[in-house]
Amino acid sequence: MSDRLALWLRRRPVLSRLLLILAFALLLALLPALVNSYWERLLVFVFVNIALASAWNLIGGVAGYPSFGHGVFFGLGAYTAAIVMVRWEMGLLAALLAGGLMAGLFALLFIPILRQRGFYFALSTLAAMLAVQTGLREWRFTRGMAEWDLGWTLPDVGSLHFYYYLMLGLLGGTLVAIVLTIHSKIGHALHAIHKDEVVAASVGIPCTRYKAIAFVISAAIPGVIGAAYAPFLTYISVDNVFDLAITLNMILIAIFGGIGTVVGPIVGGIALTVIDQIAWANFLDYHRLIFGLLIVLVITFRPGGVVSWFRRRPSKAPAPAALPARKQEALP
Amino acid sequence: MSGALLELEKVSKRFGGIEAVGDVSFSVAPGEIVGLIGPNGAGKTTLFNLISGLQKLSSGEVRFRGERISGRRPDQICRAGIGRTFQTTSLIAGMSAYDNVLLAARFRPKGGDAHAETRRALELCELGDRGAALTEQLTVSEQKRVEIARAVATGPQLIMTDEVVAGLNGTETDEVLAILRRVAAEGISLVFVEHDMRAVMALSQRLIVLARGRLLAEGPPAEVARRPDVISVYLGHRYAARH
Repeated sequence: MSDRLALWLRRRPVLSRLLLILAFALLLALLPALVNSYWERLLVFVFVNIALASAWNLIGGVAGYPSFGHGVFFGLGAYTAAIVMVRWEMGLLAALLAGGLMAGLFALLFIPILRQRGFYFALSTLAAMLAVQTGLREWRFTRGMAEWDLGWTLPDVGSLHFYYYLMLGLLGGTLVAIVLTIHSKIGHALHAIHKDEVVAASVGIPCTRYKAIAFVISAAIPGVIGAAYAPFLTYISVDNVFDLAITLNMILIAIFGGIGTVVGPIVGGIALTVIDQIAWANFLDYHRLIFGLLIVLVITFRPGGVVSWFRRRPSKAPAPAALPARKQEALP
Repeated sequence: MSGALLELEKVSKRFGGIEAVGDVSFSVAPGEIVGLIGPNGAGKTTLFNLISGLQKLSSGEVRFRGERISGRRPDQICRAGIGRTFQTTSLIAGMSAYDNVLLAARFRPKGGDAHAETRRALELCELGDRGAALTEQLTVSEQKRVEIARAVATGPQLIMTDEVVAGLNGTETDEVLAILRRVAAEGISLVFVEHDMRAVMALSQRLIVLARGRLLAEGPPAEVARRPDVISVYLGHRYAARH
């Protein structure tokens, strides 16, 4: 019976992944009754980290366009939530929707940058984030309510329990969106674009359109997460929600866990948070050294990330082809 | 409109001061099989890249079904009805043969059942039982056939193949030629670049010869192969003596 169930699930990869997400979400929903507030708060950060890394992974890992300024969407979501909730005195739901919408719309401005590749694309996204930071610091409308404000104090709209379930729900929604995207026509196109954009275009894929779709999805998610995170922090400024470390975390978590996979950012998010906490608690002076060393070791010896240890290797091929691989070329 | 499917009019491509293709004009009729030959560096692959939009023309015009396609993006040209294969393997690594073909079927403008079209294209290329194999597990001959299947799955009216039998033995070459004939029997025009003269003479209905980027000769294969200028620049006197 269990064999038949396993076979049935293997033939339905999307359904089996969605069921797995649901099972984990249900399990995690029970945790607040079993752990203290320290662990509950820690798990909120884990959920945020996994959701952000999963969103980055769609454009950086699946499509092969590593954005080095992705934190801009998280920060924009947080700032939008602050303006919606404080300046316009609207509720959290409106803030979440506005945060996602603002980040998604802002991502559309990046479409010309999507014609660049690799190093140039990464630098362009980083430059865009720095430009937005400056704009938000200087613009009176976004600096806070009072003349002298340099940030926003948000109303406390819920308990730690509330934010735990909110972030868990948003993480579940993020993972469902990522699984559905990766297993759709969009995911198929992104995979081809990552491997060989010239070939992808030659089989009829409008590459820029699909990169733009992936970029907007991967931007809207941090926008929503940022909007939920702002009232959780209760005070936000450019320094804490546009911190470069947020972008770096997205990238490191995805790479550490397994770039381009759905499960990689989940594994990376949990592993890096746990390692971070252990290092903090036991080796405070060497915390950054241990953390950095582990990342370098995994990336050097396991470029596929932690999940590559558990992935099944393909069976021995009869006689691998001896043709030279095509050189990746730029489209005109 | 002349009734030609593909028309090239004074197509040129220059890379700096070097002329890779110069004033090349020819046309391909619906259902026709045209061989494109020439020595290395003659501009054959560049010409394919110009037709399929991977490189921009320096001057001239390419028309497909009477419409100008030069200047369009590669995906637009593919969706207009021109499929192609590449000189070196171009299958997406890490994907199965089935997924490589499905990729093309999913984006064809005709729509319809992409999975049914994928199975049909794989069957046509005698790969019905190899769909699950990863690209890396396929033999060279199978890889070439998956590339043809993928081109077929785009729903084309014209397929351009670039040295599709290169590196294959005699039996494998015959298998691929048989597949190409079946593809042509479906009403799809073929333009193929090949160095294997046995394959060229067996398949082509018309032959175009390029030399140093310029059109040297054009006509029925047997007639073109006897031309002294073609023998001099490409076939060699030994080939001429044998045939």
